[in-house]
Amino acid sequence: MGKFIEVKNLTYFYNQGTINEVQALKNVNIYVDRGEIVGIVGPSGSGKSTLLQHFNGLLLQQNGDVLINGVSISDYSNIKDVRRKVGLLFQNPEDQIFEKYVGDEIAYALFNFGYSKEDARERVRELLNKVGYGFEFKNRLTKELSGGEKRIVSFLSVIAYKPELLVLDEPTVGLDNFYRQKLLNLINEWAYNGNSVIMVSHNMDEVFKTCHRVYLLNNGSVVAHGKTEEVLMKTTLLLDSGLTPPDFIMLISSLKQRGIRIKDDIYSEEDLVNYVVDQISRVKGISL
Amino acid sequence: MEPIVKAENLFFRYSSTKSIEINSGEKNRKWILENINFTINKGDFVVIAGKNGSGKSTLLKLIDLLLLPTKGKIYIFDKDISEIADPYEVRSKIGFVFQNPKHQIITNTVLDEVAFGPENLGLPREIIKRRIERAVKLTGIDDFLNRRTDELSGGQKQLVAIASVLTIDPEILLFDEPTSMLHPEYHNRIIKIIEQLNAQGKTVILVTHNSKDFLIGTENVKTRNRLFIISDGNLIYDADPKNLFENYKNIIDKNDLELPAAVRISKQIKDRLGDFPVCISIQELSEKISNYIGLK
Repeated sequence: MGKFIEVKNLTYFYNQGTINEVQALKNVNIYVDRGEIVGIVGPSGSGKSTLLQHFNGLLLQQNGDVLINGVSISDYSNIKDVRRKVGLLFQNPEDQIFEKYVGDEIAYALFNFGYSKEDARERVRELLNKVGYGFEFKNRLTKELSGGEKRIVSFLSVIAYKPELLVLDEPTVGLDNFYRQKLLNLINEWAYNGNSVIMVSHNMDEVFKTCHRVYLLNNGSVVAHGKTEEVLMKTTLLLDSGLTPPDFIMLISSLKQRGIRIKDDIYSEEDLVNYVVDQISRVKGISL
Repeated sequence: MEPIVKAENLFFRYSSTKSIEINSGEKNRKWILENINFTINKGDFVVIAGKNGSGKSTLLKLIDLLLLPTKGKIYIFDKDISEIADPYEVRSKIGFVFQNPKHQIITNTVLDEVAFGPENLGLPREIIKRRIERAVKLTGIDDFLNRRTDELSGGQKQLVAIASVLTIDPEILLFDEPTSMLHPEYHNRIIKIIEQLNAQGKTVILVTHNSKDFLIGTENVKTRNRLFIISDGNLIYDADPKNLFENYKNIIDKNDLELPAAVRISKQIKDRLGDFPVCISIQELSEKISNYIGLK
């Protein structure tokens, strides 16, 4: 374990020093361990995208610091070394597919990072087999892929060069359940192998199922952070930030409002069902 | 009831433009839509669901006269669309809101955008003004009416796209996953607008992936809410959404539809206790649980 990336007291102003100055980040502190999936959530305009762009040096810190493996990004002599360690997948990445064939799209960054043709070919084979498409899929025309297939190909083209941290901006938006699940499985597997993931999402059900820890951003500041289940239990704070907590958490909060006592250590839908069944059985005098 | 969209033995497949494929493979090409039959009446609220690639968006494009049937018929306002010489008149009564508002917004400022449709219809100034006022009020975009369209967020753009469709005053409104790319604060807002439009008598057809959306219109608005499920080009379900959740587990599983949490939780409670109602909303479920626990 150990921290892979650490953001310390990060502050960022757009148009700094002009009358249009806007503060996008205020003293933000964030870290991600190896093997960890961390969620970043918050309303539009809360600073999520500004923060993401600091992770691979697209934006450079004005105040505070961003450390990768304990070394400040500003101390790297070549930003390419940072980009190799941190893979960034934008929202709707399929809009940025520009190669004609799937194989070339996945291999694109590999050539930039100096892979030989043989090694790149091997890596493409490995990745296409991993997702169950088979090596022949490399010959498919990218423009003829379905939306879900395009998203998977975009994802593969980022993990191809094995970045140690994967930064994903709304990775499943617009996908149906099948592709959503497929992508989330790939993300989980990626982290399970010791890599780190930072994921921006507005789908709290998905954050609940996928992320180990969560940071809630509002107006450029971290307003809550901690274990996913603890942060997502703060229903009022989430609703105030325009986010919808997972349904079972909404149910707990609605039951509490009706004056029903719910114990504090319920952290899943299963726990809640057990508890409710237990309570109803007790009232009815049935022992299960 | 007045039929407004009707499909009879409708088949559709994309024809290839390459002559070589026309000769060899045309007959073997897969139908995108296969033998579809339905009638949508004026004022209906229809939600269409199905996997990526099942044919949902193709059906919307057929209803909007952007595509013509390969076989079979579609009637819009009682007119066979394959025989309409000038589709312009029919299309001006149909509004289409796309998934991505970027594909729909064409002018520089918001005000120009909402005025574009009615100006092109050649309407008198007074009417244009009134229509814009109504659309702006319904969608709540007064705050950024004078902004540049490229400065808006995705959600704001989608509201503008909806407002500009409304200024054409269509009778049928088609929405193709209008909120799937947006932040949830806009999701709820846009769903409310769609419900309101249906309550005002517009016929609404909404394509969605989100099973929570299947229940739109069932609670607040009195409508003939219907759910279509399209699977591999076939219309396999055309009925009340509640019925699906209670009785058709195979359809739900096969089409990768997610049960709404309230349905899932209440079913688990029912399985364990033997006696518990299947609920479709969290509010309903919460009420039922407190009734049961309150039982002495």
